[in-house]
Amino acid sequence: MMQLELNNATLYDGQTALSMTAATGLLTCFTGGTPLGRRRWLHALMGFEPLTGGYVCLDGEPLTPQSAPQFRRLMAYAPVCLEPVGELYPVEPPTVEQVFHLRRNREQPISNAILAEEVRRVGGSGDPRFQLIAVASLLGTPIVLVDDPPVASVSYLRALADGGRLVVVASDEAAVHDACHLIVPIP
Amino acid sequence: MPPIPPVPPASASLLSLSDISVWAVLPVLLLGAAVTVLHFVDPRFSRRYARAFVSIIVQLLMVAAYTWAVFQLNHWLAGVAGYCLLVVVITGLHPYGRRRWLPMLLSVAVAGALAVGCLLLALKVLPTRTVFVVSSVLLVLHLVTSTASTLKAFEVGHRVTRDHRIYLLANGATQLESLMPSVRRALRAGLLRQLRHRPTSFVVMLPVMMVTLLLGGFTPAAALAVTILFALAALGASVLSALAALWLCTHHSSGL
Repeated sequence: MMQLELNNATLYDGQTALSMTAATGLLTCFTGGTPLGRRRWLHALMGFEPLTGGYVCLDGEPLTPQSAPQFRRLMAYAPVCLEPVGELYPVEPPTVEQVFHLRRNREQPISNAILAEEVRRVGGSGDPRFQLIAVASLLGTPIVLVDDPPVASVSYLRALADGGRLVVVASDEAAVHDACHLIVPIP
Repeated sequence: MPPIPPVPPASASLLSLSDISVWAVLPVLLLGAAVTVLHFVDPRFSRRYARAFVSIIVQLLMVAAYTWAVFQLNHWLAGVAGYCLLVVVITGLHPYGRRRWLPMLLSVAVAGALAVGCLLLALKVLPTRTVFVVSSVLLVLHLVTSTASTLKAFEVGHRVTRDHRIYLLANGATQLESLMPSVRRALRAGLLRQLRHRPTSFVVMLPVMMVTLLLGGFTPAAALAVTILFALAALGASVLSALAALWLCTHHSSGL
């Protein structure tokens, strides 16, 4: 059983420390604060946000800048959106194909049919967030982090957790809270 | 108005400073008038214009000193030392060169030295000093410009694509894999312009090289051959310099 912990962690411009323990088989939800604040805590679990106090640890091992790449090998992340940036010369976001062509992910069996089937299981087409969650799930990592999942995907995420994965989401939706095992209010 | 003296034939002795008439003050007055008008119309732009002019004069003086040193001292060490100084000063004078001094300096110096070295090896006979001076000056000026535009494009792309890189890093990418899209965009921005025949430094320096070699005593066929070799070396050096500068920047980047 895997445990992902925040141990009196404080973000670099935050004032209050946060502690929580997410474990395999549990659907954990960050709630409260602002959407950006919740996203930053998700990023802190992956080592993308510097902490001024406390630490993140996985199965007792603290996350450091040196160990962060190894930690992330066990994680997959579905952001709330991936949009082009820039107006004069827009920069397109990474595609699903690019993600599965990364060296670490080349062994994963993937095809258009598999992806479409997974998107349908997540909640159907129409919302790009379903595809992002499907990609994160298909990567097969033991830890899945999802930022602001649509309400229609909550049952899928609950099934992922029940199936033995460690799932952490960030959401303010009551319907999402109802499906979660553990609610972590953001200070 | 005194009559303008006839231009002596090319077979006569070379011109010296004493052959320049007092009417040489006219271009200076013209520039002064232009800057004065600019100052009233747009003071901020007139300061930038003046700074650019001063920078050009400093570069010309430096190139003249470098050429004099190579021809007067006539020793390979003087050439190497002069080349290193040339790279340092031109990189430092470039507005972007001061921000990313070390990656630009190293990449331009190594790529330029490789290209000039290949060109000199291609010549069986003298005058190598002429080829060395003109090719090193033109190449360093061109490499600094193209490497700076590559690095600038990389920095801009790197800054605005943080969320994209987080997504890649969080889903299996290594540090290098997450930076590759920014690297590709930077290479296209820095190198593609050379191949589109726009009036870049690359297109301008080839006729300058050709004319300088002709004036330096090369036959037209030899000047053309050396200029083509120089163009090939410059293109290769541009790519090497851009890749080296990007590697140095990404190697020392903290990731996000």
